[in-house]
Amino acid sequence: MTYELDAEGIQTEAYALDLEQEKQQLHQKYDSDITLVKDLFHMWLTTKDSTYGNRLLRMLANEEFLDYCTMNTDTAWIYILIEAMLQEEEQEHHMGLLYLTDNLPSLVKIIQAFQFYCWRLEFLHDSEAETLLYHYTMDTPLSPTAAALIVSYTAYDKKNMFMRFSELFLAYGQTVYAFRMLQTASLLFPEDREVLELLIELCNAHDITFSQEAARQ
Amino acid sequence: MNPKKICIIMCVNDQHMLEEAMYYINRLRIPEGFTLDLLTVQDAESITSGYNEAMRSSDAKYKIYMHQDVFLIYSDILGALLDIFENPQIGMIGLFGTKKIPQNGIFWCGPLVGQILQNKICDTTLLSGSAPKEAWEEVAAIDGLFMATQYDIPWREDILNGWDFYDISQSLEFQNKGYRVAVPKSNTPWCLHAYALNNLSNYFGGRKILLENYKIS
Repeated sequence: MTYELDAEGIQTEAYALDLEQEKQQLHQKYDSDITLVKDLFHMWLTTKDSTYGNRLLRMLANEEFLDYCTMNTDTAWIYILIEAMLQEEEQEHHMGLLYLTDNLPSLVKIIQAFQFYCWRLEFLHDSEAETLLYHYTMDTPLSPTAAALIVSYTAYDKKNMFMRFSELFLAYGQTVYAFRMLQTASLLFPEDREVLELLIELCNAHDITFSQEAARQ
Repeated sequence: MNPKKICIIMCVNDQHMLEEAMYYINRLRIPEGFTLDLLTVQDAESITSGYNEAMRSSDAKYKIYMHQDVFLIYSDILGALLDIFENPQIGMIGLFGTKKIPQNGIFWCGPLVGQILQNKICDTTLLSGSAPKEAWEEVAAIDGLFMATQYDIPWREDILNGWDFYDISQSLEFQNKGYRVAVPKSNTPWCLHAYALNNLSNYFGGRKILLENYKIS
């Protein structure tokens, strides 16, 4: 979020009243849709029926509503989970996250546990977190696509964290995970030479292994 | 009152989050000769009533009131706070503040000071205002995510019975008693506020209460 510190008038009562009115209008306009999003997501998780997922996608195509969803804790989680599931389907032809559990709170806890290890690693430089994160990813299991996307939502120094995670997964022989980390980094930093070179190096060094693992995934 | 004790106080409704916050607390360097306590208030009716209950039950001279989803990433934060509290005029320290409380009472519309990291589910970003030029900078109010005190002044549970505006109120209470409120200079952010989405459902009601009870010019 950016705050327009120099904007005229934002410290006035009139601005506060406008803001309150705007929030009320958004509440009136979208609160029933917010409830519907939560219900549809719940149904999707419990039944695994893609009809619910498709209905959610149609609802989130409305940009104003999507913005409103990302300001509400539950629907912000739902939004990133849907995004991750769709990418899983595209990259791996399987929505792994959808099958981890049947309710939002426990799915959020699963993601948060991964995020907690990420933050320990990034901000406390806790080497134990590296091992814990690796085993947590494998045991849960989180797919390479889901893991990379969660890193993008979580890390502050994204480029360095993606490179670090790539190195970590490579050390355990998980080339698809390593690749997905660098691939996601290259999408976020398309001009970055260092990321690109690492990605090319990885592809060259693990070409055969990578193809086999990608097929298996 | 024990002048060699620091107590961290949190209102808690999520054990998972508390455990992670404690992971960071357990890694803080405790200044020599000091002890560190942790007091949690489970399912408080309001943040002001929870904080009052904890404040009265602790004999620590130094108290840190913080949210359960704040992770302290600067391990020397306690020593840094004590250095600033050597000035007896400084009653309270926060990590993010505003130089002037806007006439509409909305903290974020004022000139901001300090820096924190925040995750709003979809991303982790740096929220920064101007940087203090000296070891600390005096502010008009601090953000409630982290509030360190060296004097006990009751929280206004008689007027604020929710989860908003208690931070501005307490900043004004300290100043009304003749104390100064400060934000420290920091080269890097000292905390990460995880899942920092604001629930604004009672926000504007709280704003009216603030403006009715305090003279903000």
